[in-house]
Amino acid sequence: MRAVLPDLFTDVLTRHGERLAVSDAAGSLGYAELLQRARAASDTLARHEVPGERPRVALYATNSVDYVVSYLATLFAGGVPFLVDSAFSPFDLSRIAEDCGLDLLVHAPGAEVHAIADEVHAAGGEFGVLAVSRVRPFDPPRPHLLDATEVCRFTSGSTGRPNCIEFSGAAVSAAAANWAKGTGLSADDRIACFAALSNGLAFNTSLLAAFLPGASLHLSSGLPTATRVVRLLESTEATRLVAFPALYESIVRRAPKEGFAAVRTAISSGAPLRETVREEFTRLTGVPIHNYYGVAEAGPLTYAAEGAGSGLGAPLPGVRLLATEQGIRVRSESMGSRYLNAPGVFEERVDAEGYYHTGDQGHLRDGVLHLTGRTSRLVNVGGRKIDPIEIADVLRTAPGVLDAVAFEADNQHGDPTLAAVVAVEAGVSAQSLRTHCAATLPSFKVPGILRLVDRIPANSIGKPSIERLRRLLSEPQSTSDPQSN
Amino acid sequence: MDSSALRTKILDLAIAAGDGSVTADELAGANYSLRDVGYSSLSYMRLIDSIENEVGVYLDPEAPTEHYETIDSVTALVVASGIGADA
Repeated sequence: MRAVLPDLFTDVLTRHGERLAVSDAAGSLGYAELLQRARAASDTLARHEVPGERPRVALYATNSVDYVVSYLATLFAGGVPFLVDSAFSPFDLSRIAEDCGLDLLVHAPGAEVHAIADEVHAAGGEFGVLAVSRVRPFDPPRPHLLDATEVCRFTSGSTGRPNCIEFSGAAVSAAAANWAKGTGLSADDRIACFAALSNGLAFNTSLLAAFLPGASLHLSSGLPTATRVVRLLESTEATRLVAFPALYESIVRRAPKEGFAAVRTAISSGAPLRETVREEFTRLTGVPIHNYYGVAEAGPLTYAAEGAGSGLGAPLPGVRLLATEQGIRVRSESMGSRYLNAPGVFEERVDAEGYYHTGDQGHLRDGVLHLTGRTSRLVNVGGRKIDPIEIADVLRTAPGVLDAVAFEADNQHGDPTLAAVVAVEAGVSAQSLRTHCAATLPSFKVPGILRLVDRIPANSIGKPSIERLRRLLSEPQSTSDPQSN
Repeated sequence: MDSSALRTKILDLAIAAGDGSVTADELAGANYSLRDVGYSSLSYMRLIDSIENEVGVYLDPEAPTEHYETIDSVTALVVASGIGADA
């Protein structure tokens, strides 16, 4: 089967020639230069060809021009890029490498990959600031990729392991084309992207979607604090801002007076944006925030073209969306195919009519989607989905822990966060539990609120009472509690 | 503001910017390491914003991570970013 994406990228990079394609703090590349750099890097990757197989190349890095070069190089080399969240822990990465049968890693020189891989290209070559390492083979044999699969991305999963979603080239192409068409992206747009390109928000709105019409993509890595964002917006004269709600909250906290003169559109997704933040941001900057609703497995689904109100907008082109008592179900041209490392799990969520069950609940009013809750147990912290069962299981393995329950609770700022109530023996401290979690979990999965108790409060049938657990969090920690011992 | 007062202010801001379960005692027990008390990226964003608001200095979030490890290293970063000990 002939791959879709290499030809498509070659076409758009050639067509837009000398226009600015992508920039970061270290530099920029025009479309023709990007094609040239990616071709040179693909020649290097091709030297690591796997006989009879397409090379599986994980990109484990933060946003940069070199990240985009590496992504394109992998496609041009006939490989499959696996976009791994750089916030995933080395432990997560090693499980992904084994589950998915990775061949190569493209990573920052300081990344902790040495337990599973050996460096074959140091930073400073065709991959710019990034290095390339070869993954040591795992046993048993790796899972088979579908012939149509051209890109793999990850979701938090509900089994304690990130699920690897296989996407066909046609799905990736449709996601970008439908987003560009549905949101009016044009060659005049300059997109400032503060979400990681491994995440659906950035991948679907800012990578191929930016290049199709000849727009420019301006990348940032690290924490997107308001002051930093304003500096990038001013230096790039960005017309679009793509970010998670946390960035908009930061801007409201700092209340910058300038920086938004060229911005016409701000896009938020990943987690609910508080209405007060939306209103204050627009009052401060004059820029409306447009909601976008997407699901990792199904791509971008809706866009709020009006940029006002709490609705998530109308379905994008190529999307059919149903909101019933069973929750929100979708069919889209940008659907993933399956989970490479969790056979049958994806398929169980697709019904006989081909609709994917998102796990979200909501309704359509005048064609606009409104979310009301979730049917799944996942906790959404700042746009990252976390399975509380996985966290409780990890806590239970810590020395001195008798039992643990993890759940969503509001922190002192009113934001949803991951909380855990842990029954412990004397001498166990919150710090020791955090250290235990951090040894295997990525930092965003370590509970933000930890309360240590002698016994988990239970309801009349002996199950943990979430209501009583939440109430417990609002009470001051007693000096006789285990934490203080 | 002398360096001791600046450090105390940053400690107060760090507790306020956390998710809610970090106390001064816990921070002291962790040698004032923000990472050891589970400071999240969202907490760091709140802390940087509040320092910029209250102290009037720009903190580069892409500064080497060791600058954000502890209350003392953050204090040193603030001083190095333009707020002297007697500012």
